[in-house]
Amino acid sequence: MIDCSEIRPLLSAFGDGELEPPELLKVARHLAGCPDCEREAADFSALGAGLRDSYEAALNAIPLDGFAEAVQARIVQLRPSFVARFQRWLASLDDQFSPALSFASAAVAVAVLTAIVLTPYVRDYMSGRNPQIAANAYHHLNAITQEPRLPEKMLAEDSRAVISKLESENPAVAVWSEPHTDTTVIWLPDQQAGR
Amino acid sequence: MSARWSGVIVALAGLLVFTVQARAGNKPGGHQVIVSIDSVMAADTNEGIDRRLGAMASRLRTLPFSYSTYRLLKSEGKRTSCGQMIVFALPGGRILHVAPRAIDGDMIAMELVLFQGDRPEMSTELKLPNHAFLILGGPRYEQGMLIVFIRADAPGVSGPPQIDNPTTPVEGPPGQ
Repeated sequence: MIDCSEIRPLLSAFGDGELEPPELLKVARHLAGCPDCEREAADFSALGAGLRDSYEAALNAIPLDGFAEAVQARIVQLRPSFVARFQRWLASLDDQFSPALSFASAAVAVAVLTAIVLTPYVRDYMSGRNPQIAANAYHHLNAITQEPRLPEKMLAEDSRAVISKLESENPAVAVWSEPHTDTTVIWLPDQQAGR
Repeated sequence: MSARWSGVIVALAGLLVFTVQARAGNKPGGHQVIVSIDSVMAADTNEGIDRRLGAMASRLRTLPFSYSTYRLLKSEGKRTSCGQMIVFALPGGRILHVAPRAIDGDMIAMELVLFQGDRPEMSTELKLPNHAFLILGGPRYEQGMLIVFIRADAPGVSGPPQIDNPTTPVEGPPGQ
């Protein structure tokens, strides 16, 4: 049998139904065999019921008529979020104008996208070409005179053509560009003739 | 948001997807490319410039090396598509392999290998603007040297304005 001093601190919570299941079971078992504690638990329950009744009476005395309407009016006065306003604006457009507006918007979007796709500058940009490459190209000579083979070496970086790899048995290879004639030159000098 | 506006947004998204796919479609093979090769001998034999060279003579004059003789040896054009190599027999027993790889914007990515007999003399990978020329020069030929004009044209692909019209005959069916 559990001692009453261990149970009594739990009686108030027991009356309010706030105990965890193990403690609830422990208190309930004790109360079944202890009339004193059972009486005390009944007192706690009566006290709780009285408190609840007085609380509800006080709550009912508060005037709540028109409270919901007042809250709704306050919400209307508050500024809505940007997304909400945008959606409301779209809805108002939809109400005001005919379906022709939607069609016209789509047509404008198609025209803009077509112009973007067909514009050479944008095509260059999308293809990763840098127009700056061509700017300093005129008559620039790259003489490669080091190793006979130069795998994966970037050559003629300043010409309109882009040479990503150049291999030759010739120890002296020259690469240059003539941008005004859109011509790139790879020169493999004859090693005996000297030019 | 109304269904009508949602439709506009879906249409825009579709157009973007189409644009991306169209751009991606330029990458792999399939594009037709015409490769024209003109082989010229340059020498100091005081024979002047071959009239058949036409507008190519102006390009020859821009080279830092000047010769008194420029003679057109051979002109050849072949039609191929990206990913398919074509072979040109050049004067002096040289062989030129040209393999267009892809079209990137208005650039033609290609691989060139120049053989002297069975020995690779030079190989390069490059991107050439559509209609542009690559001059491959320097190899010894008879009493002078060989200058090879390589021009790549991808029909239907934008590029710089054509400076002259090549007269090189083109082999291969147009629809290949």
